[in-house]
Amino acid sequence: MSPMMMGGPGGPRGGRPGGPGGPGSRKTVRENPNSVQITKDNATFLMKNGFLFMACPKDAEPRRVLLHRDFPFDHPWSYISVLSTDNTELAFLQNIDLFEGEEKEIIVRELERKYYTPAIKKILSVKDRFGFSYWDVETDSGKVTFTLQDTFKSISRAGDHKLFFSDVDGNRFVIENIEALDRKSHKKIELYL
Amino acid sequence: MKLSNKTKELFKRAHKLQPELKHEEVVSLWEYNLDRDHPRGLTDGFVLISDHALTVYENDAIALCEPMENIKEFRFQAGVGCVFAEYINKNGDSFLISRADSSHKTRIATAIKAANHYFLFGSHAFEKYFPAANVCPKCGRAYRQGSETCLNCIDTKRAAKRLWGVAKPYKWLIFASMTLFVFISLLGLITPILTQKLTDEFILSETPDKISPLMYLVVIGNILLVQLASRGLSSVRNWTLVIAGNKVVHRLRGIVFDKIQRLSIARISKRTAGELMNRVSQDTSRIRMFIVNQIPHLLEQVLLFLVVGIAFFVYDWRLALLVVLPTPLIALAFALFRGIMGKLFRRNWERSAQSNAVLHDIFSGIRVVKSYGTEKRESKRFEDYALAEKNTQLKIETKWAYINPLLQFLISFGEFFILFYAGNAILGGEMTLGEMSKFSSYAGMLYTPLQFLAGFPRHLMMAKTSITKVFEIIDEPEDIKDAEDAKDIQIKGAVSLKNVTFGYDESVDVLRNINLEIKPGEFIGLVGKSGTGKSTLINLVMRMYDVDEGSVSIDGVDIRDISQESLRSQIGVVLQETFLFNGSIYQNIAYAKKDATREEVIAAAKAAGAHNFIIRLTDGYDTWVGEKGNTLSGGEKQRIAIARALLHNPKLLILDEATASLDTETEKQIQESLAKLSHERTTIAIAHRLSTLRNATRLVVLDKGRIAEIGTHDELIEKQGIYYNLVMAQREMSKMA
Repeated sequence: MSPMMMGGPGGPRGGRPGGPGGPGSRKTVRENPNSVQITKDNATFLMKNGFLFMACPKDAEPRRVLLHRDFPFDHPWSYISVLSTDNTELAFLQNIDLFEGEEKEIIVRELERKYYTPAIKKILSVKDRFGFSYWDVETDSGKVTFTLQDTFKSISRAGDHKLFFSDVDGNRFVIENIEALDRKSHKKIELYL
Repeated sequence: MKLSNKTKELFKRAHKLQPELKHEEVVSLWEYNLDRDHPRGLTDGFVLISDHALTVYENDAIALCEPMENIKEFRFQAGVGCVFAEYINKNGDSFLISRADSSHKTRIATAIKAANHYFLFGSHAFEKYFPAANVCPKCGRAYRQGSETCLNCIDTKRAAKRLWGVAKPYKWLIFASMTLFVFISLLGLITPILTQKLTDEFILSETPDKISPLMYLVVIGNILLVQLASRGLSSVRNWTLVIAGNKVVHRLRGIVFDKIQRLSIARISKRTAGELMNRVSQDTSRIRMFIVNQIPHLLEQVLLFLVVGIAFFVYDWRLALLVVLPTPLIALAFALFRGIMGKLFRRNWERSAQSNAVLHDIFSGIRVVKSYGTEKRESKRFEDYALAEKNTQLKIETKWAYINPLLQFLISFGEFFILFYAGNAILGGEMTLGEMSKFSSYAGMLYTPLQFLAGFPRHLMMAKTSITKVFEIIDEPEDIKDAEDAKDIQIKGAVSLKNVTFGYDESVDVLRNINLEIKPGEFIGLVGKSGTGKSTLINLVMRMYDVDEGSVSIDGVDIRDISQESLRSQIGVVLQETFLFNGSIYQNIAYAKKDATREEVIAAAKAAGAHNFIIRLTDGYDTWVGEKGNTLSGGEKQRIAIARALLHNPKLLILDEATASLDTETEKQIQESLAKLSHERTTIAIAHRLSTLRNATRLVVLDKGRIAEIGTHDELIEKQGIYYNLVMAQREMSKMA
């Protein structure tokens, strides 16, 4: 347990935080009593055919795995479940800092790839009609238009300054810091805060 | 082949990339927009699956090519905000094909189904998976499964237009009250003229002795008559308006309530009960207030403004100009404050909805709150929300308190000009005192509407928020609809599932290719670990959701062709969490059949093993239960629910863990009585306690969304498969106990 206590963005916490899946997730994650806590010492990650593979212990045959954020809003880089392709938890990574170098990069890339969340830099226009709102924004992945149904419920807050959007198609967007938005954009989103 | 424009576009693209490719060789195709490796990278990708190869183009160059003979299956994998497509080769290794944002989800999910259809059946199924009707004609996006509304292009006409749609049946009432408005406004013009006459010809008369007392009385009498007529007409007008307004709102309420009832479980459960209640009661009453109080007032004031304005100009255009001087100011203010107030009211609405929802949440879970001793924390939680609501409310009021007096002052600014102008005119002998009094009455009549108009944005925005919220529900797409030629049938009890595939979400199939034939009178036990799709399966039989693929039929009729009322009224359902309405036990049992006799209710209660405990209650069948009636235990409530399900003697009985909270002894009794009655009834039961299913004619074992085993208890024990293991595990458990 000792290497677990290194802390990270979420801070060290004793025990295993419970509850798989984020809001809206319907996948059943199967309990696995043999799920292990992993560090760079007992597991290794590699990419193959465009997918992430894990060997745990390190000399075992690598198998394909999926990373799942247990607290996608509050702790994107901690509390990560490593699932098999049929959603059984194989391992638990308390913090990505437990890996380093190329392997850590692989984990970060895999998480960012699975959680595709363009960051909104500028809000160009917001139109609100009968519970639907139509957004025209600039993100770090270019200009995007998207639609929210039931706007207030489609925007979740994480911390004081961070906002997550889930649009009608299931796309995610994030505003990392609402205070850092320009005045015009801020005015447009003010209503929904 | 009838294809949507979008699909035609894809075909054109495919043709450009592979000119020799024939249409009929295409198995599936889709576009994608995200780089496969780089998390934020954008790309222009195109996947083409023909009957000989899978080819992936990225920025029009071939990125991947794999002969179809090496491929075993295609798979869809949902990320968060993005979707992945992959293929599995004959060795069982998977390879990434594409990554796209979630706007592509439905299209890629169906494209993959089309591709797998080819592997399963060796045939193309283009029309099935790429039908023209499946795509929004406006934006070309694919509709979500089972839906025919494009959420990105939903019709959102303006609030007034929508409200008029609801008000239309009462247009004659509304028309009548409008006509009355015109008359009343015109009458309002007469009084100042009569007063002028009174002042100039009688009161200020230079020859008072020549005044005929009769004429004097006639003028006074006329003033009285005008007043009487105006008040009388006003009463009639108010009467018609109140009737019209209430009718409109009553209709609106009916529409919203009906709509909520018609929505599928999936959509209803998105919202809290508190929020729905808010919309049915609070929002519609705000709209009524607006229709009955504000709109007529607005009409009256606008009419008055026009009529008086015209009269004014006819009398003296210079004076009129002075009076209307502040009008542009008001128009400006109107436009400005509409935006500000609109935002504030929206926020206030959301805050108040939130605090209502929290309140509802806490009260519904009051037992949990009490048992964890978290009353203080919950008080704090509610207080926070109430505080947020108060703050927005305060913001509205303070803004209003600043703005309103300023506006009012600006508006009546013109009055100073009149005094000045008229004073001068009188001193110069160009105007009589009577004329001046008439003008100031008219000016007053002009300012009232202006002042009202300045305050109108507040009411307008408040009402608009409510109208929006109400129409939001009305516009909610209905995903389970009766077919136009839906039939009413008499259920005999044969249930058949053919190739049924279903997922709550396109990306995860909860049930896969289920085939099951249930004969009338059979008792089917559904067994399996939690999360294997048992409850989903019975939800499909009840048509709480529509299947994605395949069909569910009862007595050979697809349930999508049976009217929902006819279907559900003949199915008896007992769920694990029982719900009793506020009412007597009798009313709760009789809920399933309106015209049930007392004898029938007692017979059903006996069959459910409920009669004995009911008659021990002081008030017997008249005992009040429901939210406040916490006197019944879980098992007792469950027995009442079973009685309710048995009352109309359904030909199809569905038990989802219906006897889970009963002790084994009571359960046995109920089962025996159920067995006695069940010879003509099909029963589908889910139970984790396998002894519950001892009477089952067949057991169906589900595993990972598929049927793993079917057979009688003995057959499955002999097979030593999943069921056998479950039985053994439970035996272990009971030995320990």
